Amino acid sequence: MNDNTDALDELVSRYLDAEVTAEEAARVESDPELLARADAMRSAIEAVAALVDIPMIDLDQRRAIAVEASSTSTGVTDLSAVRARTIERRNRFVAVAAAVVLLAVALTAIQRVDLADDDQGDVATESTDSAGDSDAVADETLEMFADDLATEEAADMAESAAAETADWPGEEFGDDIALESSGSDAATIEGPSADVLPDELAPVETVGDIVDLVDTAYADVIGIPHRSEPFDGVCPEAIRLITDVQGDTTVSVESTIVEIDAERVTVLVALDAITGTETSGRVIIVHPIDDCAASSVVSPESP
Amino acid sequence: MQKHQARIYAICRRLAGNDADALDATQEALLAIVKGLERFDGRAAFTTWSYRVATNACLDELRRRSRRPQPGLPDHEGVADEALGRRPSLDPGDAVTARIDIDDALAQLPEEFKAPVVLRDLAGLDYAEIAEVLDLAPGTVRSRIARGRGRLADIMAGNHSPPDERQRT
Repeated sequence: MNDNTDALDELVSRYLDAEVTAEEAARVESDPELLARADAMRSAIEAVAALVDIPMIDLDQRRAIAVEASSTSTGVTDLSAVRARTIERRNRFVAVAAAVVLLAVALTAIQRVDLADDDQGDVATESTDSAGDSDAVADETLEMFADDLATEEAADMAESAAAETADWPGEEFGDDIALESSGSDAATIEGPSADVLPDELAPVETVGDIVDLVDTAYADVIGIPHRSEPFDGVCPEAIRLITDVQGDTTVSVESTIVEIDAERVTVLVALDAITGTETSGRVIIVHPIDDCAASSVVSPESP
Repeated sequence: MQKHQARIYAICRRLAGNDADALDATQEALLAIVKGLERFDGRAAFTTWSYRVATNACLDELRRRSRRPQPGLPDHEGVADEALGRRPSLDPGDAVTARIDIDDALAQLPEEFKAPVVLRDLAGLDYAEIAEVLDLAPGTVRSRIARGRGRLADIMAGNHSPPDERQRT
């Protein structure tokens, strides 16, 4: 093969696709031989692109055969249903990612509190009170969950949720878990984008347990663990926070609610049984819908 | 599916070189797409994904047949291609002649050049999309399109000599 010929053909081909620099275009246009080659290639392109007669009747029959042949094995023939499922999976994925961030940040905050004050119960209670004081941001966030949801009612909701029994991780969340299962009439999320995590998560004692639970959550919702392709690295900040948590912190997430709207994801979580004490806490996190790594805690304020 | 079948058929038609094989290959491609919908994760545009599945299914089907495409008159005259409709209609006589020529020319083109050329010049995919569809590096796609077009130009001009025999300065 003549390398020079190939190189010139590639130049001409790219010229026809407008994939050349001004200098390369000038070179082609100033060379009669290259212009002639361009004309010849253009004719070939037009021939390939010429209309193809479509035997619609036969094609409809073939499509029907293909759909019929496939329906027995998959039962999936409707693209719109696939699109809807894809969107639903994305929403669920974002919800789970938010939960990961939430859990990680909550654990980090708990650890900080633990280091700052030996009296964990008092500090955790302060956290609860801080949320209960209803600063403007927190109030606005809580209103996303329920029109008349007072901060105290949110705490009640967490207590009610704790009373509910839900198997984890055996029970799928998402469509199968109604918001009412959170145990609070005040917590009403409207719209199909709302998603609710299980009312009770099993207590976890190690980082490995947390990661395993997250894996299970991802697997339940989208069919594969979060560390698998193509989801690996989607929220590296959350994963980093989780894996940064050291020691044997024991946390039980009693109630978590995730709401997704057009712009952001909001997460409310009620915590319990912090490091073996009878304290409880609550964390509200907001992050852009497409960037869970940019999560911020709106309640309680950072210690 | 109905919306995409004409485009998929057009690709298979160019790759197969005749209507009968193209229909069979299209059926296989449509079947592959329907079966693969469960795995469509939405990361790529549906069109790109369907081209990928369809092109591979079509090539597989044609390889299985292991026979050269038979250029000839169309099995279905005068049916407009509404889906592709980005090219003005030729005079019917010219269209048949041109198609015989291009079918014959494409039949002489190695498959490694044919698929990129068809996806580029018939389907209108850009280099990156073709690279994704054929699982090739973009540079390879660019090179194969150039060589395929060059070979087609030579064949259609009546010059069936290998490219290296052409005199270039």
